Amino acid sequence: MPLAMSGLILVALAACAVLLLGLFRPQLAYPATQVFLAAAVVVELMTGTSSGHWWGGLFVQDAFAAFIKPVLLVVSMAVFLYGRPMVSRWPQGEYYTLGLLAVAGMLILTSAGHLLTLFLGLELMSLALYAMVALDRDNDMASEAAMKYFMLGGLSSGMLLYGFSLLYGITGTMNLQAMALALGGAGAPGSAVVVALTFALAGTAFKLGVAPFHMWLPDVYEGSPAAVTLFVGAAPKVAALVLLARLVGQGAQANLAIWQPALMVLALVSMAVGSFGALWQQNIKRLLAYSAIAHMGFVLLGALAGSEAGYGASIFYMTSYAVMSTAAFGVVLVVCQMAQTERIADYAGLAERSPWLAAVMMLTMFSLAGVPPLLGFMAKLEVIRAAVGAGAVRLAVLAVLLSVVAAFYYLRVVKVMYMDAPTVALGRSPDVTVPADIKLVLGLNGAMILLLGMMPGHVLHWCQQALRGFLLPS
Amino acid sequence: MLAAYLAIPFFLVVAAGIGLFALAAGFVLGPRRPDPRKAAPYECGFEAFEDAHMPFDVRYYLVAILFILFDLEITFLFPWAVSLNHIGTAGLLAMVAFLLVLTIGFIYEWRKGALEWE
Repeated sequence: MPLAMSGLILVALAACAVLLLGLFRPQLAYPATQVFLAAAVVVELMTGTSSGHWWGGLFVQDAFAAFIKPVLLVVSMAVFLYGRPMVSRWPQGEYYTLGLLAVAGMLILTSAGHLLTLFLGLELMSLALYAMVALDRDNDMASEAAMKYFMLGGLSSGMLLYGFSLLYGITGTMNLQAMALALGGAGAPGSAVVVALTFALAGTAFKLGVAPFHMWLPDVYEGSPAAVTLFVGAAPKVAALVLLARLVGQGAQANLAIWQPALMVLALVSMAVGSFGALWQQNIKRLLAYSAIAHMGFVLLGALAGSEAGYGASIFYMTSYAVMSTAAFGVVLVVCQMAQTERIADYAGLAERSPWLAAVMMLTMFSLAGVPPLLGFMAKLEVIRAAVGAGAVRLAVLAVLLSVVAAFYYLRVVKVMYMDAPTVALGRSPDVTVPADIKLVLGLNGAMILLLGMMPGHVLHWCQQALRGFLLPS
Repeated sequence: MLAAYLAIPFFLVVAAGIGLFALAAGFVLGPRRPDPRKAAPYECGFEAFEDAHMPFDVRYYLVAILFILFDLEITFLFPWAVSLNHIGTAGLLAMVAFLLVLTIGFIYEWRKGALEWE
């Protein structure tokens, strides 16, 4: 048993333990989850460097996995923290068990060097997410969202599997390294590879929420309870990028000519749909959903370069996005508790009501819009640089123009918070005391957006280091 | 090289064709001579007792799902028991881990009251 697997085993054990705790001591489910996750972070940091391949690539530990896994775990910890007040009204054991199972799935996915574990991890994550969306049983919108998510998620898994089966048929191997060699060899039939990669990419785009495979995303974001939207919108996005990097970046690295044009189209359509689609949204969760679509387009800008530097930029972007998305939904959750509202218009006067909350939201919105010197700006800069480096200059110019469009709706939220008079919802809402730990972490989250934006050097360096040796030497 | 993979679209076309053909043939060739007797609902030769769309107790589904889950998982024990001599300690430990997870699921459903009818 490889040492690098300990973090994953710990999280899987945690899921079992928390399920039992939820039955007998529900109030312990949350602290136990956090303790297990914190322990898993420590274990990952200690054992992450013991890299290698096990069982024919079924489990792989490399610098990439060593970087992604702690990120996934820490983001999940913040998500569970923010979600706690809302979750305390639901069956707790179930929420945290499903969350931990999803995290376990992401860890499996991150360490997959084989199509089987890639799919196993992805499905473990997805199935847990479908159930999480439906957890609030009496909520009609959540049930509808869960149904849509499940149906379309199932469809996308089918497409992904069809692509996998063709890839296996073409190369005769499910190991990603061996597959990359076989696909790069002279014997691989061109048109079949095109079909296989098209299906695999379509499935991946579904999971990533990239237009035109984004239909489920706004409905799921809006329909899910905010605590679940928060979860769905952070760590699983990172995991979906891992899927793309492992499957396309590693497995089909020789076939750049096939998937690069596809990624370009996906990136452009996604940025356009996300930027224009959000302009008319009245619901903050729907707005953030379209924002997510646009940001996934930016993530693809880095990935389409197909180089280690390109994936490094993508990973940096995705990590930054996870930080920003967590902060944004953290504020949405608090406002949800405070005023029972998700309408953007009801954020009016938030600056007076709760200056620090509005300040964190403002920082996050500016950062999502890509205003320097915040984190979102550095992230955008890196992916655009990667895209220009790959020769996609026109696409990079369009990306910048579309981010100007997107800036409008982010600024609108800030304007509403700071300049509009409070509406009834926020004005007469009872004083809800925000727990001190949530205040603290939300503040830290906002500070991260500011500080990492001004001093991105270290994180950027880690991201580039994590990708060293990711691709086969060509 | 490419010719080998032409089989896939060919297969798709043939599969869709057979499906459509079967439906269409039944639709076109099947004799349809309805009379009041034939069109009447029936229940194993009797007159219908009640409406077929009656609400079904949702607990049936829960029991059915739990049964299938555990039944399938226990099926896994048979090949394991037969091959235990060959797979050694690692196989034994793997099954212990598997049964542990199964037991946790069992404790969960029991405590949740999924096994009680009333």
